[in-house]
Amino acid sequence: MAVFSFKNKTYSRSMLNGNEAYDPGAMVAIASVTTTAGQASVSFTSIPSTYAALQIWVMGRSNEASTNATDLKIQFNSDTATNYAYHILQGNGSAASAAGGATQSTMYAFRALPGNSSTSGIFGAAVVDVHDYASTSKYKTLRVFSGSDRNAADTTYRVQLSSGLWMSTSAVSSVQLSCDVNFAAGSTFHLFGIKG
Amino acid sequence: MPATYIPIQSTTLSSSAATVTFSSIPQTYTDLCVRYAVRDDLAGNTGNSFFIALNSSASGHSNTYIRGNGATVSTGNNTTSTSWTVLYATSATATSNTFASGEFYFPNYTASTAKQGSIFNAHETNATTAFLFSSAHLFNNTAAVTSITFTANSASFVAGSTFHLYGIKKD
Repeated sequence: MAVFSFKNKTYSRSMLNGNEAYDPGAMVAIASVTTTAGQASVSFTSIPSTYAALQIWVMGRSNEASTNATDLKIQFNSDTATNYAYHILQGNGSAASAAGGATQSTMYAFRALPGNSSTSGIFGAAVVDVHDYASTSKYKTLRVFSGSDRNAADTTYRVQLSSGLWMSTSAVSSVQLSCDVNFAAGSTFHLFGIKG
Repeated sequence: MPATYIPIQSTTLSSSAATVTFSSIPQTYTDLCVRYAVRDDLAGNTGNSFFIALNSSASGHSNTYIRGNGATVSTGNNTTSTSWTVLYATSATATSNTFASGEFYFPNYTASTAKQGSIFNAHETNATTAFLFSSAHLFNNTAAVTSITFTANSASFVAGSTFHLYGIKKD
C-alpha cells in the first residue's frame, strides 16, 4: 500500500510484486559536510570504488578577513607531493585569461571562495567532477566549473573552467578540500557517486 | 518515486576503436548526458581533436566555443557540418596514463525543433600547455536524436577510453 504524507511531503510504498521497481538512479549521495567557522579543511574518506565517477558540490566562503576571493584547493588520498598539474580558463569581469602549471602540490578552483569581509551570505559555487576515479590504470583528470561574485567590480572574483591531473594510478579513496586560510561557517560540501 | 538520472549505455574500450556509437537511444527521457574519458593514438601529438555527431551523418551541426591552452584564450565557431569538433582528446605523447575528461549535455533531445547542447572538455597533461574547451552546440535538425557517435580524428581511441550515456527525466 502506498502512503502519501502531505504534512511531511513524502511518498512511500513497499517493494511488493506489482509495484514499480525501486531505482535509485545513477547519482547517489555518499557524504556531506557543513563547516564550522575556522575549519581548516574538509575530507571525504573511505570512498567506495563502485561508481564510474565522483561529483562534489561546493558552496564555500573563506574565513579570511578580506573581501578578496580566495582559492579552493583539492587533493586526493592525502597526497601533498608534487604529483598534480592544473589548467584554468577564466573571466574576471574585466578580462579573460588562461594559465597552467605542471608538477604542482595541489589542484585548484581559483578564487572560488569569497572572503569573509564580503556581504554576509555570499558564497562561491563549484562543481567538481572526477571521471574514472577508481581506475587503477589511469591518472585522474579533474574538471571544475566554479564562480564567485560579490556584486562589485572586483577582479579577484571570477567564473572559471579548470582542470587538474593527479599523477597516480591509485583509486581515489579520499578527497581533501582546503583553502589558504580556513573555511567560514556554513560552507557546504556534498559528495556524490555516479554509476556507469 | 522514480529516479531522474538514469544510466542508458556504457562503453569501455578493451582495444582501440576509431568510433564509438550509442544507438537506439530511448525516446523516453527529457535530456541526454554523455560523460567520457578519451585518449587517442595519434603519434607526435599531446592532443588531438575528435568529433561528435548526432544521428550518424545528419547535417546541421554548428558550434561556438571558447578555448584556453594554459596561456592564452581563443574563441571561434564552426558552421554547418556533419559533426561537432571537440578540442581535444589526450594523445600519444601526452603524459602516460592520462585521459581527457568531458561532459556533453543535450537537453530536449526528442524535440521536433532545432536543439542546443553544451560541452565541457578538459585535456590534461603534466605541462603548462593543456587545453580547456567549452562550447555551445546547435543541432539544426528537427529529427529526434536516436544516436550519438564519437569519432577520433585520423586516429583511434585507445583501450581504456570510457563513454557513459545517461537519460535525465524532468519528473
